[in-house]
Amino acid sequence: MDQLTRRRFLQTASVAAAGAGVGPWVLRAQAQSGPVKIGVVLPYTGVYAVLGESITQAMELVFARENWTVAGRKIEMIKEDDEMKPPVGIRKTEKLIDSDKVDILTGPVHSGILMGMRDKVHNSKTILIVSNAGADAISRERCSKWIFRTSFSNWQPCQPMGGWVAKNVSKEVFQIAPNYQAGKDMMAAFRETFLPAGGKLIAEDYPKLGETDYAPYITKIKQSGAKAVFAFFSGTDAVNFVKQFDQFGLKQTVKLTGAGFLTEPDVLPAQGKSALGVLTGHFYTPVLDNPVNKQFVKDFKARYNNKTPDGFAVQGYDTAEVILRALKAVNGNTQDKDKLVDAIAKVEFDSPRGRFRFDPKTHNVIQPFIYVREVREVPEFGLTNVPIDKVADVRDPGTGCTLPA
Amino acid sequence: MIVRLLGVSALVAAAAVFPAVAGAYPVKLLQEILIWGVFAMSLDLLLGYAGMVSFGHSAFFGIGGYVAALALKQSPHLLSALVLPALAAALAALVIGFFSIRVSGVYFIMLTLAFSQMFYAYAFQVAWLGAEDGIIGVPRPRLLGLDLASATVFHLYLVALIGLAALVLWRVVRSPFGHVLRGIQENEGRMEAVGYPVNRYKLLAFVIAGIVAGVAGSLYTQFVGSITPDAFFWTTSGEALLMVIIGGTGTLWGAVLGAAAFILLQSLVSSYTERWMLILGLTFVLFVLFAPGGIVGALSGRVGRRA
Repeated sequence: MDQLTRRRFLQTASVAAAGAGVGPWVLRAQAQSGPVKIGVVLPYTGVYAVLGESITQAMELVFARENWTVAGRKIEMIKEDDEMKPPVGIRKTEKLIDSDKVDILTGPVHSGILMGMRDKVHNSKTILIVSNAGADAISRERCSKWIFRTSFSNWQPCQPMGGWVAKNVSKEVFQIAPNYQAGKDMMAAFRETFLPAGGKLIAEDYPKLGETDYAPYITKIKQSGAKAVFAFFSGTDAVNFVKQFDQFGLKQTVKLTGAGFLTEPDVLPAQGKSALGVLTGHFYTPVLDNPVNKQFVKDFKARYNNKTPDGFAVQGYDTAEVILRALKAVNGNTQDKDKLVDAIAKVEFDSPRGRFRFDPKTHNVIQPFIYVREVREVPEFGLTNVPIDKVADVRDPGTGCTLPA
Repeated sequence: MIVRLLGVSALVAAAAVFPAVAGAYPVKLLQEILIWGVFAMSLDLLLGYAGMVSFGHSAFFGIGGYVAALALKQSPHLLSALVLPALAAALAALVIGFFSIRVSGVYFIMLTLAFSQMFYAYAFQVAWLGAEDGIIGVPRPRLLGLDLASATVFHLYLVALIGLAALVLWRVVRSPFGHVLRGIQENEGRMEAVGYPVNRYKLLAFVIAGIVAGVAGSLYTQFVGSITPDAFFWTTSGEALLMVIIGGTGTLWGAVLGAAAFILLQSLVSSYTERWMLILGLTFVLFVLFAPGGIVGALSGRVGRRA
């Protein structure tokens, strides 16, 4: 009896599972016309889920403001979890394009997923609005008419910092980043303006990704006699590096500067007072003093449990704004894709980060400003990045990109 | 025997004509299931027949994938698509196997894991392999005047190759060699005492599994047109282990069923809930507790028997 019920259970369960597996195809096939479908490929599980969440929340904030309608059509967001794994991200991309037949695709966080989905998107003439992944190649030799980017290229937050540091901090700099391509690219971007400004690279070092003990590197920095450090780290690496830099007492003698990700809100609470005084370059900080940003911070906090928006949220906000404005411009017609691409390329509006527009040569965002920010403690926000200077109109060189093609 | 052959041919035929009746996305899912199924089958040869729990099988998948990517970019031919990846995977399996089979149990797991993670770290860092972005824009090969860029031709090519790989593995486990592997799994000391050169058998099994995994990796590169360091990551090995266990160890075709269950759960359930991992985890627990024979065991009525 016992055996039999278990077998029955498994049989019923497998039939149910099979039904659940086939169901979606049957249901989806019926709903072809009607809403504008926006496919979202972002990480919703794992360590990077916080990024996916921030981007999604800001998108939903914008769409909710418009009552989820644009030019008389409903807006439907189809969210897929890419788990930060390229095979999964690519499979989800194919699902959204081939099965859901989305009108516009957005995401991902992982550059590897972006590079993997690039050909599929390009060949199927699907409009993709990149909302995080910073691989420079997508604005350069791998650019596409169909691909836009609202976030940044890795080059953008680093290149302006070189000249600024040489002029305002020190001409003797030690560079440090995790030992992988994005880290090295960012260091090279910094040198592009640092060396011509008379800067001298004292030394550079590349610890492994996920290093926990930075003592040997910090000792090297101390002995090198450099007056400043330019660093790129993110996630737990950023927490460990910034804390240990302070604990070894280097903060008093050597100025720590870096790419914005070094002190973003996802790591700042864990770094605590160790991060005070760190200088970073980034296109956004929640304390920016402009009306759009003030409204955005207020609305975001009200909707999401008093959570302060970060740069990722602004990327989501701008992605949603771009989609809305372009769809309004073409009167909700998503059939004529060439027209829609033109409309997206022409979108211009006041974003929390400043005046938002795409570079027609690369379809990458022109950063209205790269802010040089200092970590300080301010009344309303607590520990946060306060802008102390800015570099205007930072556009990726787009080397090798042949748009408009 | 004949009935079984007929059944298998019917399945292969069904897979081959699937694109005629289904949309583009279900076909992509089927292709991915088949590729992962072959990868899981090659792991099953080690896990289910020779009793070697390898946690570094991703090394061969990745090597096959990367060699195919590099070679196909040079010249999109059969040699690049299949021969070179298989040879490279064989060589790697020979070296890794040479060191790893000397130990067993946890030490074997750790050693294979360490080797695959070394490949991961290397591929993640070096510029000539594209570092963390991997190799992209890999063209599909041309075979016998057929351009595999065409979706239909590629599907048939996949089904044919995967059928071939399954046939090879099936012949291997049915051969006297396969029986010796089973013997080693049951009682290694005794097989040694009887006079079998156990290590040589294990090494050969390791190399065969490595070659098939390499071919799976190469097919995967051709399938997506790119390869990233994640192919080497331990989670790739871990997922293959899950597929084998859910499907049923020591059955070969169970591995394909396991791959199907895993990929369908991952792709379909995750569209509805972010908690799909919870569902996968529960499925795994239920299988281990109530159907240790996996899906194959459950289908043949061996339900409720504890391992």
